[in-house]
Amino acid sequence: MKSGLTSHTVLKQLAGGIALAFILSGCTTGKATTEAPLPVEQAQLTAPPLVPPPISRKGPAKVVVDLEMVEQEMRLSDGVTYEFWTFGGTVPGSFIRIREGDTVEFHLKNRHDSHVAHNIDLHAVTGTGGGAEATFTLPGHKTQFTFKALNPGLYVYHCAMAPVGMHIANGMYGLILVEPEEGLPPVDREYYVMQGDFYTEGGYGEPGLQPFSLEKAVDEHPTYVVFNGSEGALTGDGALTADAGDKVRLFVGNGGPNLVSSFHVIGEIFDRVFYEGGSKYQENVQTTLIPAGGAAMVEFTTDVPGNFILVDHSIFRTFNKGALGILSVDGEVKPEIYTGQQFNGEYPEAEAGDQ
Amino acid sequence: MPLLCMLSAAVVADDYVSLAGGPFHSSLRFGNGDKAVFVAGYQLMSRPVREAEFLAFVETHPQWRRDRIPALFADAGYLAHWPGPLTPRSEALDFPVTRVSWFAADAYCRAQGARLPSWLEWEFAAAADDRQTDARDDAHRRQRVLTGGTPGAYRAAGESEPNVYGVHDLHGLVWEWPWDHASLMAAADSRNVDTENPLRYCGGSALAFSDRRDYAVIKRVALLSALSARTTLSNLGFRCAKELP
Repeated sequence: MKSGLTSHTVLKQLAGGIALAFILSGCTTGKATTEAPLPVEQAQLTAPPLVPPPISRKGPAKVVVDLEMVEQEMRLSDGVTYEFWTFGGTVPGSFIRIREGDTVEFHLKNRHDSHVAHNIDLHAVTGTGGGAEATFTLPGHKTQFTFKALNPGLYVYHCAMAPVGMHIANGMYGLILVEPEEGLPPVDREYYVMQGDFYTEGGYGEPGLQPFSLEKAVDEHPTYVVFNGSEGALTGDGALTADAGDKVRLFVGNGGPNLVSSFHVIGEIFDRVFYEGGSKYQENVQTTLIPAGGAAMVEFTTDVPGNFILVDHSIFRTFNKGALGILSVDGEVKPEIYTGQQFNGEYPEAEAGDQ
Repeated sequence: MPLLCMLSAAVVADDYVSLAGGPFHSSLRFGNGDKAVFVAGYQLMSRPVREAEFLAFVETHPQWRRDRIPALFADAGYLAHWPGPLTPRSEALDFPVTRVSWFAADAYCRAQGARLPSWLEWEFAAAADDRQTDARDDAHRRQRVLTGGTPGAYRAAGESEPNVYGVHDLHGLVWEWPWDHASLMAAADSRNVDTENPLRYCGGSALAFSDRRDYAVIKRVALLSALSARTTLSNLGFRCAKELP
């Protein structure tokens, strides 16, 4: 009986132990489920020169990005077209905005009428090929992979399908911004500008559909150097706009494939340049170097009205190859900052005795 | 039906040209350094298989109809551009057939007593232009063949001269299934890239190619290496080959 009791107690203890084990394991599972699952949201993508709104979330999310790769003939210059390969139908490709710590589920589609396979290498990705390995996508197919945005910054993405140079030369690049956890300081205007060099069989201005020139690309002799995929994309109706006194932030990328950009805005001084798209800034910058496959965030205040010209200060590219954009600023003139012309006239020739 | 079958067989039979073969420097590396590989003589169809010809095949081999083919042998795009399972667009009967899987292309060639060409056989014939058997150093030709498969392809502009072998449209029209598409990567040099498939990586872009400027071939192989045997594409067709008589 005693031994019976004992064995009963043992059994009870055993049962208790099992129950405890269940509770413990229940706790473990419970812990996993009590951690709030990441909120899921669809990334809002924008075509250049527009930028998605700043992220107001204070915590990480699972962000779903849907991007379609499209090959299509578009304008390169007046009377000149080119068979562009694109992310999202534009050059540069759609702007992607996420937050440090976000988990990004990336869906890549290659439109049915594409003639080759494509993929994507995002410089914001930590992992093999930046996603390229996971996104080898045939025409009419879609691929998916997931990454965690570990590092904040402004990053280039591009196609890394062989022959890589040709895919990039045809326009397959864009920018992805990973906002730091604390966000970026608010500004009045944000724009998306990306430089690229293009290589056509015909010379500059030669009309018609211009095929890609392999020889010129290998020799690094571009026919066109442009902002946002075509000569004049940022002039006329396409000019960027701001009001005098606005704080402006430009997300500037360089898709290359070959050239390094000496990015400059005529008549402005960059108050801050987050050079190389990183976390540190330099102040009071005239011209910033943007490597191929790199980016920079530039910030300035538009103190006075006028047309401010975006150029690659490797200046023949601006006047002979198309690298010119306009930021048109409206507002009251401020003669205490800039008067405009105050005098234009002859001055007396120096007398012999003065020399 | 048998008459149509015989007719199309006759057309196909007339459509082959003979290539003597010989030593050949492929733009791909076959693990043999820069040495030439030997391509044995073979026959190759002078044009890609046309829609009308493939229709005849499907009529006589109904297991390859799009509404009967097992999903294992072709994806959902198989002949999907035909208005019906046995009705290609009437205005397109002379176009190269596209949206066919490797399995279907292979079966078509077998039914003709032929086979798909190997990559090397395709590349050997495609190295020629209308004057020489190996025109690959010609910068103008390089440029011209680079647009192959695109809407801007030169063939689309109406230019279609046979090369010195009498073969048409190896460039500039559609991509074509080689018999050994699945082994293209296995044959590629992996000395520089420690991976099974160097083409999938940015850094591997041109490393598996002995001629890094032959972008037309690089582009084509990049696509072919992405295919599985049941894949179909709107710009992917085929032609057949067979041994010399």
